[in-house]
Amino acid sequence: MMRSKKLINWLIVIFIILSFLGFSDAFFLTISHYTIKTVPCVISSFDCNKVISGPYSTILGVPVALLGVGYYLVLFIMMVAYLDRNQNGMNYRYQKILLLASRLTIIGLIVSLWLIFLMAFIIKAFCLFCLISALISIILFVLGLFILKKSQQE
Amino acid sequence: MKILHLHWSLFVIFFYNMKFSKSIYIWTGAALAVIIVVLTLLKLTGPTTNPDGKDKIMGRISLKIDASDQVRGNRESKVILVEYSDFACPACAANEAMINKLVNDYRDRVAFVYRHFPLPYHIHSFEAARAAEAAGRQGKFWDLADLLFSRQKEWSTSPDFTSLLSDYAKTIGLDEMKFKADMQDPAIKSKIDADIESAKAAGLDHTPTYYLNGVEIINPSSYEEFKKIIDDALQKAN
Repeated sequence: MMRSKKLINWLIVIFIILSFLGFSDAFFLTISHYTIKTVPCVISSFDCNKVISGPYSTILGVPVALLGVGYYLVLFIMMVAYLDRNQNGMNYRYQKILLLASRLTIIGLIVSLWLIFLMAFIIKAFCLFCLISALISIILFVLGLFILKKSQQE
Repeated sequence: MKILHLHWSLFVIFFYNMKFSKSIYIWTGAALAVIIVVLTLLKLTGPTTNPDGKDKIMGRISLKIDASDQVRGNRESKVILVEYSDFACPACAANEAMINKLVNDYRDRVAFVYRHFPLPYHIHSFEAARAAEAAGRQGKFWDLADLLFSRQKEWSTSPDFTSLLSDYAKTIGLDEMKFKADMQDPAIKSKIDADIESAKAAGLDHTPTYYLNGVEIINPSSYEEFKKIIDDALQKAN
């Protein structure tokens, strides 16, 4: 019991750090999307301009990167809220936040896989920070799975 | 009133609860982290000149304008703006209108030099540079350069770049036979290679890159910003 609880706390801390990194990354991508004219073509095999400002960079006029900012921020706030409430010994009431946040990560997983597919086969160009975001989303999903499993065991 | 009442009671409860202080740390920490990241990123990507008005010095480049250089404006000017660019680079195309306007406005006072830095991952970049130089042999370097930038989306990923080039040559009225022959001229290739070498020597790592009197400037994001940098240089030169 105790060990499992400790483990879950660590998972939550990693979850918070990753969602924070995801937020920073997506925020940077959003700025890049809006200031495309000043983003120079950098020597590398990644053609960010094409990905960040191309036709697939918005959904109904909203930049995908901005949606990412919202997504990571929501996960971040939920987990910080859980961490905050949990330390007050109100665990049982706030367990729902933990489970909901963990389940939400599947959205990030699906969107990330779709975006990787777009980059690889349709746009045929990659952008480094988009890949970092996808990686973070995938790790968050795996963490979410662990958290769900651990909290079931308790 | 009821809401206010609730608010106050909550406040009192929290205040007497010692654990509340830990909450403050958690939420303040989280909020601070978010705010710091947002501000840092905005600052890093924001206005490119320092608050004291000085331009950041990055790389330097030797300033000799030679006969092979493509120059607009006043060749004899003390103020020289060298641009390293790539016809297939979207940011370069986006900046082209701004540069043309500057050339127009500072025609008598500034020398504008265009040098090639075709990025290796843009497939037709090098060929496009050759084509522009070949057009230059017929005095139409800038005509083709403008056309290449404005139609970048059309040719930069096209499998049939050669026939598109023929169309462009016709559009700007080139002697097509001579144009095609000049494109294969090794002298043109070595001119572009020399441009690339000079850029690499200066540590250039992105396009477009601008050097004002030999010193790299951070890419200005607007005409006004660029104008101010040039005006400052003109003032210093006189």
